[in-house]
Amino acid sequence: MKEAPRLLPLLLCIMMLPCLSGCWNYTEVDDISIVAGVAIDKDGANEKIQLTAEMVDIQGGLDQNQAGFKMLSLTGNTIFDIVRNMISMTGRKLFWSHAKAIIFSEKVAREGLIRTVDWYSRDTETRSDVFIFVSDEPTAREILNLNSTTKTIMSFELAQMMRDEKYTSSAPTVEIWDFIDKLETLGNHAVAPLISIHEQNGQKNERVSGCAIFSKDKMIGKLNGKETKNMLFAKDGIKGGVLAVNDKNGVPTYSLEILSSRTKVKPKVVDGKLLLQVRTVTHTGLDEVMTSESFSGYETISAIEERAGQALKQEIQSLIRKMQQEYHADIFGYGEIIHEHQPKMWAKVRDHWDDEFAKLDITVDSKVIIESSAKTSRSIKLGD
Amino acid sequence: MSKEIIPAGQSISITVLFIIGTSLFMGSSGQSGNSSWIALIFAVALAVPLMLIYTRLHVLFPGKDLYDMLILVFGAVAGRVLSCLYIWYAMHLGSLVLRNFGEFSKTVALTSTPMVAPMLVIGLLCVWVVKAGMEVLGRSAKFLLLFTVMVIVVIELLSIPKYQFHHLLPVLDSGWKLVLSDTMGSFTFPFAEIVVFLGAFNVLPKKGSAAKVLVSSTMIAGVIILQVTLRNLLVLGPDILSSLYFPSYVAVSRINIGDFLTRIEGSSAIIFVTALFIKVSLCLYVASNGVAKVFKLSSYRSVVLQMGLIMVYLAVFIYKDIMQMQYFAYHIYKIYALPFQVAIPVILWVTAEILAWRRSGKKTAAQQ
Repeated sequence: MKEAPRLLPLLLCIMMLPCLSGCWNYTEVDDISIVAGVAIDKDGANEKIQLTAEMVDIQGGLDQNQAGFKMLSLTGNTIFDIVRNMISMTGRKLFWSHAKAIIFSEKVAREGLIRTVDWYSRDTETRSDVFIFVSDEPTAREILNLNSTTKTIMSFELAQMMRDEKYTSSAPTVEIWDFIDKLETLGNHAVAPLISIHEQNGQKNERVSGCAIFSKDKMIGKLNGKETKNMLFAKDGIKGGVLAVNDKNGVPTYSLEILSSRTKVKPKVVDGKLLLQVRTVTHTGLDEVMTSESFSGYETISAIEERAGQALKQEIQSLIRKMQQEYHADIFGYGEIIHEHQPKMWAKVRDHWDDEFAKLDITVDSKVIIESSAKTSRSIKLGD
Repeated sequence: MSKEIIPAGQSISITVLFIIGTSLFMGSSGQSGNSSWIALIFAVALAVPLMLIYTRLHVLFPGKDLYDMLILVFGAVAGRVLSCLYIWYAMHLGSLVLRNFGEFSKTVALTSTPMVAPMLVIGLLCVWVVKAGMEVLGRSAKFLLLFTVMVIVVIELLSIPKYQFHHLLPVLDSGWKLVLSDTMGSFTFPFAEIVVFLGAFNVLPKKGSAAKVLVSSTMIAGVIILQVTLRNLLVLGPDILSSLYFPSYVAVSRINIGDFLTRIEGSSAIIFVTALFIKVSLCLYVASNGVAKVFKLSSYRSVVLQMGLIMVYLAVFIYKDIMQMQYFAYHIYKIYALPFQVAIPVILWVTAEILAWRRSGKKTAAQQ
């Protein structure tokens, strides 16, 4: 009997050994397949979903200085079904935490994204900070397949592109998170960047430019890169980019680099009618002058500012007009702003906001300020 | 054995961690969308008078815990029946909290580990600390509170770049009705749950001020929860917030400092565990103490292990799934908890006041 208390701790220690080693779900890195990105298509023949995964190949060996990739494609009824069935092809469980891009084909987008997006935001193996794209080509997988010609992991390259998008502002950067957020908020329509294959001199490259417009979760239209930039202006999403400005004869001459831009949207109720004032203020630097005629003196700088502001105003206005008349889609989030600042008015219009938006009176006012002219103070002078 | 007394600082730590325990990861009830922070302030304001009632009980019965009071005031039989109710409440609350943790680890952290494994480990840890005594619990709470507050503040600072202040507009979007309903929700869960601490009033110093402990810990916990709720709201927005089971975890996962400091939600989950550990331990202590008082045991220590195992087991089968858990926490609990948190203590207080008044009346009569 005296032995018992001494044996008990020993017994406990032995019992704890298997529990404390932390090997319950132990997985070695070579037992998983790391997913870099996926493309989701509709399989033409039988209306099933086709999922193509681009995976990092970690068994590259020492002689390669860059990680390889592997492609895998499978059709099925639901996304999760396909994801699990892929194990039968890789023999390893897919690891999703490092995935960076999801590309939807236009067909999938037009039929509604809720069906395909839900798994990704719900499942615990995935992370919601992955970028989403809509393919401008017939299928989504051919974009991922470009990796065989560019020899890089396409999804990681796309993610890098999205990170640098702030220097061009020709496409919105949309994480799956923002997308779902937009779907859930009333008075806001979602957008997603468009991705296409750019072919020149036989060289194929992926190109992200423009955006797809959604109504609810269904894609209804496209904007090109320039329109997308104006859209970003209209919703205070500009972080950088270039404004090309004509000279007084209408020839593109000046480039203004956008340093910072702010858009203020003010909803007003006048005589029971809703009015929206959009004001943009853009700070720029003059970075290119394609003429030898001097711009010396304050006069001309302010003339450039004036002309740039006018052009920007007109472009934004025509884009808003287009959205109002063609698509009835409030991609600018103006409904949300009205909701926040005029809750009483919003209660009246919220149920038929799309129609209300189409009739809405929106005035645009743009101001461009040139703060600097980079390294040189005047244009290149022609000597004799 | 000697009587355990813990100083005010430690009991404040215990109660603060107890209050914020589940709210840290479950969030507060959020039917009112972007006005839930208003509801929280109301709930704190409502909780303070209740705390004063609890404190008054400590003044009337110094050195006694809830069970002693019940038996003293309502007599041996009725007092014991009410005590049994409180034992159930403490047990049940402990199980709910354990289950929250179980669901949390099953959903986000350890997806293929059976839920009972982490719950059992935490449960056994709580058994250990309760067996070691309230003094140990008090000291560990003091240390853990420092740690928890530090982590919360750091995370708060790191999430500032993700704040979108327009999520707060328009103020009172959903109307007063939902705000009031949320006030009730936040009042019963988590603030008035502190009624459990009444069962451990015997560890407060006899002459010490219970008001200081209860009111200040309500305030501190209120500020912490308010801060966490506001952060979740500002980062996630009211629409998404309502669809998440564990909003804090998701909000932290949004942190991205220069593509360098990312994916820190796993580390932040540690504070959920520390707060939960204190909460379950206190529930376990109060339940065991109650059993000891009702059955006149010489020490509560002899029933801690049994109660702890029952608590873990109850946590395993108390809900069918996470949907049921959420429904219970936000819709049923605020009605279920009211008698324990408000009705019985208030009746106890009124009766005790009458008794005390009569006694003093008799005393003055005898003096004359």
